[in-house]
Amino acid sequence: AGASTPHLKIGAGGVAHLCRDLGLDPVDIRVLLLAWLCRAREMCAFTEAELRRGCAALRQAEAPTADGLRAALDARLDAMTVDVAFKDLYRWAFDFGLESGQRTLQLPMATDLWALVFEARPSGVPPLLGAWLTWLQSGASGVKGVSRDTWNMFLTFIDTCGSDLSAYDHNEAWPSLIDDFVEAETDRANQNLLNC
Amino acid sequence: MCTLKPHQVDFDLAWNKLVRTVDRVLQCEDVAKETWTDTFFTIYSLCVAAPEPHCGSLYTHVNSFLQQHCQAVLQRLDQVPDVELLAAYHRSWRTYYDGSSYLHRLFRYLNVHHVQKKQPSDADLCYGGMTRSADAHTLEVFELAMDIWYRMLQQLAPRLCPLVLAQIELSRRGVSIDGSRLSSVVQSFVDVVHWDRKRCLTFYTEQIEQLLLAQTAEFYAAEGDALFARQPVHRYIELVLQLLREDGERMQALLHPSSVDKVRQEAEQKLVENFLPQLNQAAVGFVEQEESTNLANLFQLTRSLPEGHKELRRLFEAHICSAGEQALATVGSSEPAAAAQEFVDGLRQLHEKFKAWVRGTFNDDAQFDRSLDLALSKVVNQLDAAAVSDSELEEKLSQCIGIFKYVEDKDVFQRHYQRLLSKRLILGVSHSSEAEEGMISKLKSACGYEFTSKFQRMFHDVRLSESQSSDFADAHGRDALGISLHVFVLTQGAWPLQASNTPFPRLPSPLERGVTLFQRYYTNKFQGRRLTWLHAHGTADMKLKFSRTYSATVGAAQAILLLQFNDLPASRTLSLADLANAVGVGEAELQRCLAPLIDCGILQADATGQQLHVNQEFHSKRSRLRVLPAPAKEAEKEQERVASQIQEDRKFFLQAAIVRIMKDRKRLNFNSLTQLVLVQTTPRFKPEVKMIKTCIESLIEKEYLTRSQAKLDEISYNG
Repeated sequence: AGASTPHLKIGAGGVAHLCRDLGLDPVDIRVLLLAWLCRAREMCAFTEAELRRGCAALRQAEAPTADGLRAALDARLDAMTVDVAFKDLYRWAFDFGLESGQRTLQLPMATDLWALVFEARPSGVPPLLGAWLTWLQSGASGVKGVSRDTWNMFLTFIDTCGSDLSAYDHNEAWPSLIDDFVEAETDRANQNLLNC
Repeated sequence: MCTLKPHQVDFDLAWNKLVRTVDRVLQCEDVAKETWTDTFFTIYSLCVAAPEPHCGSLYTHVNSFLQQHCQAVLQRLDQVPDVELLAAYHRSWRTYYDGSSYLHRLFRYLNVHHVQKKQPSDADLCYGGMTRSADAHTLEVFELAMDIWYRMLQQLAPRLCPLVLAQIELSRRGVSIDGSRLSSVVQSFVDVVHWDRKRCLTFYTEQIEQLLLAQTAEFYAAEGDALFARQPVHRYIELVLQLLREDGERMQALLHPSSVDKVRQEAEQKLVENFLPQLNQAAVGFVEQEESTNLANLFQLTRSLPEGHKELRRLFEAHICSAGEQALATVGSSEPAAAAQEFVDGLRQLHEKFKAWVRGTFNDDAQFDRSLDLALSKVVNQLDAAAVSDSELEEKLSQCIGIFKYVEDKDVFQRHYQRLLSKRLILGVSHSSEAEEGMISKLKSACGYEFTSKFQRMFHDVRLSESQSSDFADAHGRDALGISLHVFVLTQGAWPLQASNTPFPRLPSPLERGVTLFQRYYTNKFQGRRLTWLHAHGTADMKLKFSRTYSATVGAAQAILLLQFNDLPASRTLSLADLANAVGVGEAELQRCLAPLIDCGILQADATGQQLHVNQEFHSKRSRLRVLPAPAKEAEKEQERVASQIQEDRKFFLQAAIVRIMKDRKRLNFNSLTQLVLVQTTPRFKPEVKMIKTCIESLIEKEYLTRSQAKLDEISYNG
């Protein structure tokens, strides 16, 4: 799957082909991992330089075999034990999903990326993520896009407030989208209590 | 025999001669003037004696003489039984004190030429850790005398002090005592160390004050319990006030002034602080029943305790709130204009009543005044905002701008005021321009220049327009146009007016010509200025000729409608469609213009309502008519528009405030930033924290601000 001519770029078809060779679903976390290691700028496309960078990061030869690459990716995913690396992946993902010329991530893209990226989190997928995505997809938030600030802060929020919201302090400087979410979530929890 | 020249003197001989006089002086016995002068001179000659002056030995002799004297006094006092000790001590002390000060004068030469030369400087005393002492010969004679008495008194104190305290307790129990004697005894504890600035009160505090404080606590704890058990609370408060007042006077008379407050605090702690919960309990009743004497007493009683008033203030606030809710509960049910009047009157009464409380009962206390403000703001802001923004309200407000300061959303008020002011100015329906300007200057003093600058601009525009219109008329000859044209030239942005999206119908020719000429006149006069015509806001004064002539003020569109009938034969009718066509407005707008014309009877519709004709029989008692179209639905929309505009304004205002603050501070944590923003905005409106947050976020998104990587609540300015 390596390209031999400089400045070449594989598009959506090429990426699909690559995924097939690797035996991976295009929305597998390992594909995102590859894109991150390549520092890919846009979705569904790799330039040759990007792929070379990715292979170098995976310690693969210039023209690796599909199996070799796949094995390296599996190993890399297992090796995601450092929060710093995950944080970098997480922050990079925002730019990866951003349409050119936009400042905010479109909501559907944001929820897809959120659902995907946390699979690479060393301490596992956070329990709150499901509620967060459901709430966003329900449209109750009233927002159409997610700002970089909110994106970055969401990771801090997940790290700080963990699985339950008891560590959350309303007076801190959380982005208002997170405030709203916590409010809705608390309301829901109270509602459940009442119904019991 | 008097010679000032130093000569040889036999010290022992001189001292033996001297000591008899010294003894007499110290005991305040009469000394003949000559003897005094003689002795003074002997001291002089000893101090300047040749070959060596005798200063040193003279000082030592005086020192031991005084010591012997005090020892003798102590021995005498030791023989005196307790009952007489106070009197005996007092007598000896008075004599000694007076005697010492005479002696001081007698030894003036020794003081000046021996002691003062040895004394360390003030700086050394204060900071150099040096002290003065008898041994170093650095105490002047009076000070020396006091120091020696001090040493004697230290031995006597264990007997003397309990007697002093017993006297005070007797006085507290109502037995009359010799106050001036006691006070003088107490004062001696201060006087004996008075010369030493560093510890002048220590002896007194240790020997008397501390014991007294303990005794006070014990005494009033018992007294308080007994009183509280016997008396109802309001009576207890009265009695305690009296007790404290009396004790204060007693302490003032007996003690050093520095002790008075301490003793009072001790007494208050036992009599008031210990009973504070019960007192506050009683305060609930006092406030509810509005018992002002009891409240005033309680206020006075708790005033000096830290936080002593907190509960009372809370009750006061709650009481105002509930009184406010009761008084204003009925408001709003009736018709809006009347409701507004009632609302304002109700508030004024509340304010008057409770202001009187603050002034009378609470002694004009600033904190209670603030409580009043707080509570009233709560009352004002709890009520439906509609009552505040009511169309009639601002006129009533001119009578009582005092209420205005309680409105938190001053920017909402500003918008509505601007809208209504604009209407009044353009239609010329202000009661009087003095009243308007008076109101504006009141608002200005309440909210500052910026708040009213647009209002002032509006006034300025109107005034300028008057002179411009008359200039214009002069330039073109008053009759040349056939009509008199008055144009308001208004500054864009200062008025709440916007060019409407739908183009206004073509003006009838006389008006059109006037408008063109004015435009030319104006652009000639002020090059580079652009005029946007807002005909929809114009009015026209028309003459209507029926059986008699009426003059009518109508809206510009109405004028065009009426002119359509002008050239028609009297009986001709025009259909709604014709009119809509001719004027070029939609049906709803057409109805809005026609309705008042039909209502007042100038036009008549046929049975179908589709055909209109002029009512030739039109008759009215008045010769001047105002038939302006009702603002009807427009008003509702306008309210909405104003509301959304206010939200926009607030966002801009907040963002500007945030940027201003961050530009200045560069780096701030989130909460301090919020606080600073609140400080800047509160004079205009009270933003929710969430709104501030949203504004900060949008500034982060626009990259004016950055969130710090390390600390999640720190924000910095990208300057």
